[in-house]
Amino acid sequence: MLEINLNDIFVLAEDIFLQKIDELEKYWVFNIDTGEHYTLNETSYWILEQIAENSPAKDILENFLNSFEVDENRGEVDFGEIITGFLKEGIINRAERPDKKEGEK
Amino acid sequence: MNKSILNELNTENEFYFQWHITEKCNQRCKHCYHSNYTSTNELTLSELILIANKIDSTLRKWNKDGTLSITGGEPFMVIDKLFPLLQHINSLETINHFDLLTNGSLLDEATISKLKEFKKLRRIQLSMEGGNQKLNDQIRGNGSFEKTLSTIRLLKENGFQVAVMMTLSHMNKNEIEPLLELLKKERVDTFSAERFIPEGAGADLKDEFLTADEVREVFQKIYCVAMKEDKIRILLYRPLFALLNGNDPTVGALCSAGNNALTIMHDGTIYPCRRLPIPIGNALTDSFYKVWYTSEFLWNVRNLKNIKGKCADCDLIPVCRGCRAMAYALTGDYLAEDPQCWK
Repeated sequence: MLEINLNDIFVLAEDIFLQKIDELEKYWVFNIDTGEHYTLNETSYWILEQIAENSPAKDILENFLNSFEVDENRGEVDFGEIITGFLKEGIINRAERPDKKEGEK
Repeated sequence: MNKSILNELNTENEFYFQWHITEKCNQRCKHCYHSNYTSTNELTLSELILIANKIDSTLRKWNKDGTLSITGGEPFMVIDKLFPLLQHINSLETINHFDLLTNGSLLDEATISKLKEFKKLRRIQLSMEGGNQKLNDQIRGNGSFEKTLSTIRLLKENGFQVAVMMTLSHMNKNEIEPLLELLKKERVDTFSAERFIPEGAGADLKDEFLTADEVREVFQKIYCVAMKEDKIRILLYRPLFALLNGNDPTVGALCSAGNNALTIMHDGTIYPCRRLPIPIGNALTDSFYKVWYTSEFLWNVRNLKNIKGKCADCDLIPVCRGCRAMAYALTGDYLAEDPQCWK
């Protein structure tokens, strides 16, 4: 599993487009360059929306735990897995942290 | 997270492109949806080939069988581009088959003979407006009835599948049976009828627009003939036919806008459907992914909860949802109820 640093800020990768139809509880993410496309659940989509707003990972996690009323330990694991999945599929990237020191991951 | 999105947006295995490679036309049919025949900014052959390749790569990604209708204007007006384009399309693995939609007036022995080399050419579609010459020529121009019949004969002699389409209006609403009798005699393979939409050159023909009750009457007639007819295949996959038998998947169809089709115009402009002239991108400069995934128009029509009026509460909405182009032409709101629905 990729290591998630809660100080990280993630950004949507270039050409990524989010779409939802709330009434039908349908959530999608598209890559308009490669044509790749995924169906998402509400939680994963919510996280991508937060990332699109450039929220830091720790804020997103905190909001996630509050918004979805999940157990803290379980929530952190789920959050990490979702972020890892998005990174692996190239849906999000790590943004350069302003406070990052040389050699720090 | 999974990758099944396209099958949620589109349950069909096929994806259809209607491609108007030119606006030039040698006829001026009264009801035509084109308003201009100058074909300004018409694409070059190399641009057409580029778009064909984009279609190919998009279909490959989506794992869809592609079907194309190549048309105009009159596609044989640009024969120098048409034949090389067809040759290229014919070579594309993702294209299952293509049809040519033409008025037939420029087809001669030599042209028809050349068309034989395209193995993926399924059908050639011509248009007729009735079983009598006077009425047909009143709508499509003098001499078009006889010329269309002679082209049908030539095509059949050469082993082609021929389709005939008519556009339903007040002028020809009683011509279904006479036309079908004629087409059977001429060994035409398929027949379809489209409702006249007052737009383009036909925008001023509001009086020709059928009422909902008249559409019901004509559709019932077509449906009854289709159920007992075995010499000619009558295509019923159009919105509103589902009202006659919602349980039969061959009767009626969802409006294709946002579902399983796109229209490409002579300059590359993309419309959701030819009868819905709302630009949603350009095939030359945009990827089909971008258009299909990000168009606000397409997302609005995909969400059935957006459809208004009696369509909103209709139990047939999963299989019908009316014609969005008809709603747009008549009300200016593409989400309005289909004004010709009789339910």
